[in-house]
Amino acid sequence: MEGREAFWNISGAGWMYLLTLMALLFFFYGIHKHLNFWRKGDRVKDHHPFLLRLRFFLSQAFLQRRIFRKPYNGVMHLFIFWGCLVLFLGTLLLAIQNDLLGPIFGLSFLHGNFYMIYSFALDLFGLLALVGTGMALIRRYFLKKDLRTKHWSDSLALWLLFFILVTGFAMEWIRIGVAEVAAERSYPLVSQIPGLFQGVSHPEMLKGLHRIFWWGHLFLALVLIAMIPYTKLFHMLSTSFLTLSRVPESKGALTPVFLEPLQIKGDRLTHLSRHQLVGLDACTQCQRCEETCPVTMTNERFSPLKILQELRRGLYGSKNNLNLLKETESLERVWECLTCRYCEEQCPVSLEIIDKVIEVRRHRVMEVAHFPAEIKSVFRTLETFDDPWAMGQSFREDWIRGEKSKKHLRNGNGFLVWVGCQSAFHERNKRTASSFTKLLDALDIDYFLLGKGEVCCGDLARRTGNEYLSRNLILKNIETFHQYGVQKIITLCPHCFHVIKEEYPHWGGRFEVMPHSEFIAGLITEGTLSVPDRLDRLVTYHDSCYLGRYHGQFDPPRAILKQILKGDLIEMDKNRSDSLCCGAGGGSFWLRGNSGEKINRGRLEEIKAKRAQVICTSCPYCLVMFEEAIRNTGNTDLAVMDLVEFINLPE
Amino acid sequence: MEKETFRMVVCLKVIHELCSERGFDPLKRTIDPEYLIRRINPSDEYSMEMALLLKEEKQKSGGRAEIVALSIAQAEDEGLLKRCLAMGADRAFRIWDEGIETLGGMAFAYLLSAGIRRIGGNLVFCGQKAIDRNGNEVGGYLAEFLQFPQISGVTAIDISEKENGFVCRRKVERLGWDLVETSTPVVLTVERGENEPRYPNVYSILNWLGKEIEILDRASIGVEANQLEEWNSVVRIKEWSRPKPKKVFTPKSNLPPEERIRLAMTGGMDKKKTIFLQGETKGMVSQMVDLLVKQKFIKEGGKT
Repeated sequence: MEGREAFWNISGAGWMYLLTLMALLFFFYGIHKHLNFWRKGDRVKDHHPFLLRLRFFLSQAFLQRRIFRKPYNGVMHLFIFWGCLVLFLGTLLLAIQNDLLGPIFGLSFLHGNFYMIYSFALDLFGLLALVGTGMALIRRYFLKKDLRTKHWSDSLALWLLFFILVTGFAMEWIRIGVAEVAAERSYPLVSQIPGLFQGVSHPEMLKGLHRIFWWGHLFLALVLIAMIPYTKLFHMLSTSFLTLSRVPESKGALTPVFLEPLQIKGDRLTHLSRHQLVGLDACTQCQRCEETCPVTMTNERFSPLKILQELRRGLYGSKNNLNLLKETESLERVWECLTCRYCEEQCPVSLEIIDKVIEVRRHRVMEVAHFPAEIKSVFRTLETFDDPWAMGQSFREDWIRGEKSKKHLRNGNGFLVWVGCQSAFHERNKRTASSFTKLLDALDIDYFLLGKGEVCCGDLARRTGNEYLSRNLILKNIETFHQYGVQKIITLCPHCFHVIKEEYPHWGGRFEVMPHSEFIAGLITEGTLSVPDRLDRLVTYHDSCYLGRYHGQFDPPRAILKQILKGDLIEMDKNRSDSLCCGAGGGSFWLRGNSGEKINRGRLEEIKAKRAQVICTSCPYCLVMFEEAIRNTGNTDLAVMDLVEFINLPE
Repeated sequence: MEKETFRMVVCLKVIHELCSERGFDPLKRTIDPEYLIRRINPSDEYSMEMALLLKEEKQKSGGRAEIVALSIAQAEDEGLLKRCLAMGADRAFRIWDEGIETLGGMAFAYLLSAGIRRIGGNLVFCGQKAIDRNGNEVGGYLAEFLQFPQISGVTAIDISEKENGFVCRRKVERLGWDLVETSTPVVLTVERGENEPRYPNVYSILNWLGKEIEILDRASIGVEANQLEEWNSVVRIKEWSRPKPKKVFTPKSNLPPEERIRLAMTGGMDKKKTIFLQGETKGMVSQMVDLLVKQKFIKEGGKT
């Protein structure tokens, strides 16, 4: 008989509809609860084109690119995903034909060539799903025995899936054997496996067995469907929402709390948006964030995963009110986050983690005013002196030595060179600034310096949760920029770069911003700058988080080094988007006693193992951190330099 | 009978911190205003914190307390004042009138005392000294004008069993302290110390941004201009001297960069060198003399 007979050997099919209805009731009740949770979030208007978001969703959902950062898990998950998807669609088609099109319109499409393709697809993808499930079982019971986030419901779901697949195949084998359906017309692949039940002499017994399998298959499948909203399986839906509502290729800009005029939205300062709540819900506790987090590496008590879980536990079932969060140890450790974004890069469900960490910090700073004392003194300094070094604006021009550069102070037609607090005040980083201006002077490029007109860019206050303070600083800067008619800005610090480029637009400050590395790389490709004397040293490049992972600027610095160096650049094992943070990000530079120093020493070990002589960075924070690590460990044969300092070396 | 509100007055001073001698304008012989960094005097912030702690103590024991801030400040310093008031002040007054900015400590204290009489309060908090002029004077004068006793160098405070009484801890020496019991009325001059001023939450900051600071002019507190002049002429600074800034070591520019950085970081100091002299006493002495001559500690020819 051609086509698939849905109820071969089965009576009492009415019960099936009843059971299905019950399962669906459970399912939708669970969904309803999740929706209630999501609805507590703030509605944020997002003007990002839907098509771009759809593309991001499709690439994440159907290709699952992120999961493939771990190949075994990637293959496993992809097999299960595609297997289950196709099997579900197959069953859905069957249901549509048998219960909708067939009875009402007398239509039937599951026959002929289409049926051939249909059954072949179900067969193939069923097999893939079985392989994937097997891989998952092996991983669970042999490879990853000590997974911390194991939950009984996960194992249950996995076993359910396994038995659903096995019973499904088994009953079709019986059907092929007993009803003598032409095997290749039903299950072309599976039937090649020597039929277990073919030619068995007790068809009645087999039929009984088949009935058990059929009902078992149905029951298990319905249990699986019903438990989706109550277990981690829910990630198949929440992740879809998450990737659809997320800004694709997000640059990690934080949403502002205060917009002009200064007022509080709603009744509280800190809210999580709907998108953020969906994100909390979508976390599958895969632990990739903590496996890669540079802070967790040195201090196991900090974990991005724990922070997410604490947040979800605290907010689920209550109002969207961070005041209700208990002060647990993992939440108090939000101050250790480096905002390096490595976890976000790893997260297979494209979850944004940094924004939630910052939201907790904002709550601690702005609502309850309870936070580490070092941060308090940083805020006081920023308030009083407008820079974190407690120096004051009158010292901002100290790094300018030559008359040539002094000429450009608040005078000139070119772009603005944004020096930033690090290069203006830190003795070591002053050299970066003067090297850069020297280079510009040598090439006769017109530029413009603000000198004492600059105040802190606001990054430090923003990342440490003091949105009010950072807003004041940002507004001061934007006003100065407008006053001098600034359009193009070249920054010496990736942190300033990120804030000015991505976050100033919230307050109406739209400028063309470029880091100095990209600018120099541009000069080299233009041909304006050429380096005749090549440097014969072993150099490695350390990617700064805010330049690399945040903005994808991996190539411009390497292009510069390619021009300067005689030999090849030595790449560290963890480079480009896998680069480790130097330990200074997210305000950690000012929080001594954090794990920054340890992280940095680890990074130094890696560099030493590569036998590099010079570490090259393009971030003043990384520079200082490495210099400190070198001094503290006594590796005086190593040197750290900013990219731009290399160009001056041949002189 | 309802309890009376316990009123505390906290005096705040906006100081102009000087960051460098480069800010000095040689033509006007004054500080270039562009280089001034304005802030609330730190020990005044400590006194605000102390008043807040006392208020909390009072409220815990069922009383009512109010903190009134008083400052002699220009209109442009209101932002700074409000930031400090956000710590938890209930009301604020600002004394300002023509000709006030040139006055000295005693006239300021007279103005403040007039202001406090107008506001009415028995417990007055003052910073021990402002870090711009290091005068150490206003608290004492203020107590005299108000005819209140004064306790100086207070670092901590708690309520005692006495009616309207407190126990204050005074800083005596570096690590020594007195425990002083007193009751209102009193002027406390507060030293920086135990209770770090709190960081206000943003609700409070925004709340004070929207509030008005009441202005008291000379007439409203009943002070005549000639009275101020009179008090101002009692004590005057006749002459002052400032230490010269320490010379900062700068490495020579012809050295290689790594060397320069190393020198800048160590301040130009090389490692201590230890030389052991050996031999007989006479020989050792002559070796030592040679060494001292070589290091240019003594001139040659000093041999006997």
